[in-house]
Amino acid sequence: MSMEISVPFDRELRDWPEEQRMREWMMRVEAVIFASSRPVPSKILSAVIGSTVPVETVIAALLEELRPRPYELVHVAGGWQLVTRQRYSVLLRSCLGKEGREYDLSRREIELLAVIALRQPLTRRDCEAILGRAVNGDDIGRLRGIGFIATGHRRPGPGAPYTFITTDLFLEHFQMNSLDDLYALQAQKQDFG
Amino acid sequence: MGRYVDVTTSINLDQRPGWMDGTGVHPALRLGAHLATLHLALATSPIRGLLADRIALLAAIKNLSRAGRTETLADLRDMRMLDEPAGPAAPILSAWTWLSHLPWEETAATRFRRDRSEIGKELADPRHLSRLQSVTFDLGLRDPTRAANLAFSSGAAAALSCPLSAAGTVIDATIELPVPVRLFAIDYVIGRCCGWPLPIYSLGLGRRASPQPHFEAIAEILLAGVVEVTRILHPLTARASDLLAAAHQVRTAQRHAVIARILAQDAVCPAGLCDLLPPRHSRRLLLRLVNLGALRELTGRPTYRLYGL
Repeated sequence: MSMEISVPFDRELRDWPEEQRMREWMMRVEAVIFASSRPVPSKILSAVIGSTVPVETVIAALLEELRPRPYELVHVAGGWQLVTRQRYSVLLRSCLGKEGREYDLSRREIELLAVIALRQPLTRRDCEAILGRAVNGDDIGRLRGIGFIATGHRRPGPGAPYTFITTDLFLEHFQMNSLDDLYALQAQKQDFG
Repeated sequence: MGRYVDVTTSINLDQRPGWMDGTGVHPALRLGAHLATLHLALATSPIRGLLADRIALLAAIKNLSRAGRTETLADLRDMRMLDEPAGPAAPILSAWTWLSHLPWEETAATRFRRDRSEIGKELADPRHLSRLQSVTFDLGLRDPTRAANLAFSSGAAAALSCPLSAAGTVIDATIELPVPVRLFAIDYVIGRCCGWPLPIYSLGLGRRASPQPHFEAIAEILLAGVVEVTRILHPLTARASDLLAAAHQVRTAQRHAVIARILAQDAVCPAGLCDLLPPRHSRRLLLRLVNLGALRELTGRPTYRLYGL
């Protein structure tokens, strides 16, 4: 994310009353996160608030503030993002349909994405071995086009094929902070049998 | 007639003392003896670069398996071969590889650092500091202020003269951070304290154990790590002397430079020697060394081969 603060503005708000200053910082952080389409890293948030206060304090106050709202602040893919609460997902899907950031993935593509996410880095041949069917180059191309997967390092062997790995956009879309969340989810599923 | 002590029938001082491997001995005492022995062995060893690189890979494997991943030594070697590593294993691999490329202290005299100037210089180097921060960022410490704090506290801990108290300090200071970041910080601090780019701590820590700040626990883990390093060092040293002896049997130009490079890293590929020799010549030289029994081919593949000790 390339976001530079080019116009100088008053970060510190030294002549503001204590109470109001904190409120203004919270507003600024919320405004930045609200306006951004991608998760905003803490580094950028700490540049819009005073240098004396850690960004976690402002975030904690904001989380408390947003408690009665239908949306919440979540930490995904190394940044902060505003999303609607989980329990409104059915409602939103039924009235908004495929509007918004929904990606229309086919069943084959979802299978492929799941295999790549769980067993990455792996080549197209590896995917074929796991899925037990031929993997269409178009499916890979589509997932790459959306930006869910990217090429990683190459594998030594005939043709030196590229391996595929998931991207930050994948983490963001599935509301995960890191791949550990995915593996934890998998372990949970296995526990339930 | 005066009494004298017969020195010719006294104990054999060539052997190391039995208490170094005794079970009832305090781990800190045994650790001290093992560290000193290893230090002397490393001081004259021609394979320090190779040792550091291989130990880094082994520590990375151990840390990856702690995180539930199944990469092997061959996988990690292959990951580095053609490209920059990518994927979930890449942060751990590149973190510990970076650790293994930090400088060795040159002589035994500089080891015991009476003043703290040297480590201060290293940390004051902005490139070193920013690299340290970006490595911890990739390992999962996403907060820049905490990463900066960690870098400074690690630098301060590494300037302590006792490795045990340095480890205790950093274990205490990192209590709420993710495990890979903690282990990396501990390895960094102990490595800088001893003057070795060897990740002894995470090598000695059990797969299911977590770092404990007690001196005795730290000493036991470091002891396990040092014993592991020694176990790897001895066969490698023997193979390195075979390789150096075989240098007289080959006549390729640049053979000494090639052998020096083999002794400086975990594995070499013919393409990695192209600044010294044309690819065909380096491939022939490596094959000749394999035929002489001085070198091993590590992959078992017909193509994309890697050679090492």
